[in-house]
Amino acid sequence: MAWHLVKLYSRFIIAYIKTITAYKPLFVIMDVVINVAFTLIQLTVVWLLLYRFEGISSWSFYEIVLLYNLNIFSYSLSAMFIWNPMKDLQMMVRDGSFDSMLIKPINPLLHMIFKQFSHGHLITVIFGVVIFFKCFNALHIEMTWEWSIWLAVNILGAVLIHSAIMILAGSISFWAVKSDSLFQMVIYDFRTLTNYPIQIYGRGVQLLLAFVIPYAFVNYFPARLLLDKEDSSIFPNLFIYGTPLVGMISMGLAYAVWRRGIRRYESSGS
Amino acid sequence: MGIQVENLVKTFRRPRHREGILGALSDLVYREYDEKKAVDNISFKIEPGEVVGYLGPNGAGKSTTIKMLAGILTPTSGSIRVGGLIPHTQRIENTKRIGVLFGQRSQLWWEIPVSESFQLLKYMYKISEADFRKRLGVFEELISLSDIYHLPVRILSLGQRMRAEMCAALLHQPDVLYLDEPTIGLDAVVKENIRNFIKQTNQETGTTVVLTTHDMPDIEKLCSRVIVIDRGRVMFDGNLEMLKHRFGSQNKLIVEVEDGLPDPQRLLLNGADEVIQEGRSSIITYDRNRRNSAGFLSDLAQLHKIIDFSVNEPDIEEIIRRMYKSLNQSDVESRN
Repeated sequence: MAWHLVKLYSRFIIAYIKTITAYKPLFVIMDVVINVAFTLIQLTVVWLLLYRFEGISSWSFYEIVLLYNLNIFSYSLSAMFIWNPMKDLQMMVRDGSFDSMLIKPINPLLHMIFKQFSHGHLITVIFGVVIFFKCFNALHIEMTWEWSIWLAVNILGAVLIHSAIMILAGSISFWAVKSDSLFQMVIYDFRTLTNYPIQIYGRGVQLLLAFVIPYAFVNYFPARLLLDKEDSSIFPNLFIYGTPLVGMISMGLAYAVWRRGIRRYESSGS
Repeated sequence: MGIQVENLVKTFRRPRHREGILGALSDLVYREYDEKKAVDNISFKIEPGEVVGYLGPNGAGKSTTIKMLAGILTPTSGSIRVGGLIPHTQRIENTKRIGVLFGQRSQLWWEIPVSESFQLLKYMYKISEADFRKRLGVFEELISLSDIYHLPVRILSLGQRMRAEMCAALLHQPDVLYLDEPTIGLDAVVKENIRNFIKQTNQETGTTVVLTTHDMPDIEKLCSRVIVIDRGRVMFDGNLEMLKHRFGSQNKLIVEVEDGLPDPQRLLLNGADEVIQEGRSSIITYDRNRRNSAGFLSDLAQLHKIIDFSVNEPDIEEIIRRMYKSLNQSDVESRN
């Protein structure tokens, strides 16, 4: 089963590569260049901003960069697969082309993921890896086996949380015809809150980020675990191990909503 | 593989929008819904290997039914079994055994060559290399694919694309084929090719076919049986001859004579059901089972010089329209 999916996905990738080499190589190259430039500018701005403050509360400059990068990296990794499908979903539900996802012998969510490829997010992912190593170096982190596994598991958990939120936001399309503003406003703007240690916020925001939209588990708690850091948020210390669990729960919930959405799907046309 | 449908109902809820700014505001607080029964208690049974025309006017519920059969839509109530499976709950299992073609919507990948789309389908349906080659051979023979096989879908003409779509729908040798207006917008030659292809596939592999169409030759050439629905209900279920005999016996004779217009009274006395005169031509409606065009023409020829004439058989739309009329009447009659 898994092997079959790998073969199928590689076939989709081949088709994708053939498409870009045959019709729009220049377009893609331009797109990559723009993406690289944009990411560099964004990083520089953040870098300069953080550098001026030399860290926030008890967090040093590179600790904040690590915190920041845990968020951006896991987001990009998740967006590479989920962003386009969820962005397309609204249109596909509205014009009924989602039909074609339901008459093929693969899971519709997987199919949506397979049939696109987001080179833009891939670039941010690559940058993310570079920044991680820069941070580990600057913070003199000894990358033991145990520590590396914790890192991987937490990134995976964070990817699940981001994916779950995107899937939930995208699934609104099955209930409401116009959902993109909600998508943008309510959910994505909260993400920027976690670019800083959450203890700088009031109790309400901290609770929101831990329990309602669990972005705190994307970077704040994992960063504390990975940096072995005491801190003064309102939550028990045990929370720093919570990311994988929260990731799985969020994903389970999002997938259940997605499936309910499919049952509600009304197609269109006569 | 057979299909069983029992008491199938599909209700759509549509938000009702109230007028004006106040209306829009109250919509935000409390939304009212209109319920529309697109499919209203439909039952039928289709045997393996049958070719069934599923007919009705626009908005009758044809596509909604097909989409429920394919597992795209979840029924509001009632049951569907396709070869023993429930399409919307056992969807993935069901998709392996069905082929779907919606005339207005492409199942192929737009940017890549047909061959690459077929490769994707091959991996998706786990078709072995040997089977894949064999199928391509069959397609080549029946509908000829090689001229378009390496072209990207986006540059194909509609006719070429439909050939590719047909093959894509049949690549995994489905037991049931759902076709929603497969010949819409095609020229006569391509239509005929597609019909032949469907017919051959049905005869050679015993594929069950359910098709919706507004095209009379499609039905005459392909369907051993027709199910007609209107407003979500089954109006007729039987073979085509029965349908035509019962509702399609009214022909139209259109005649033009040299010296003005013939006398309508005389035509009505001769057995015409209706005479309409427009410009220089007279449209004479008569029952084919009781009268014939030769009778009218020889009678007219005694008094006038005939310039031109044509005989129109009723098309399926008209047969169906007539069917509703008579069904509504019998509704009234049975109530009285």
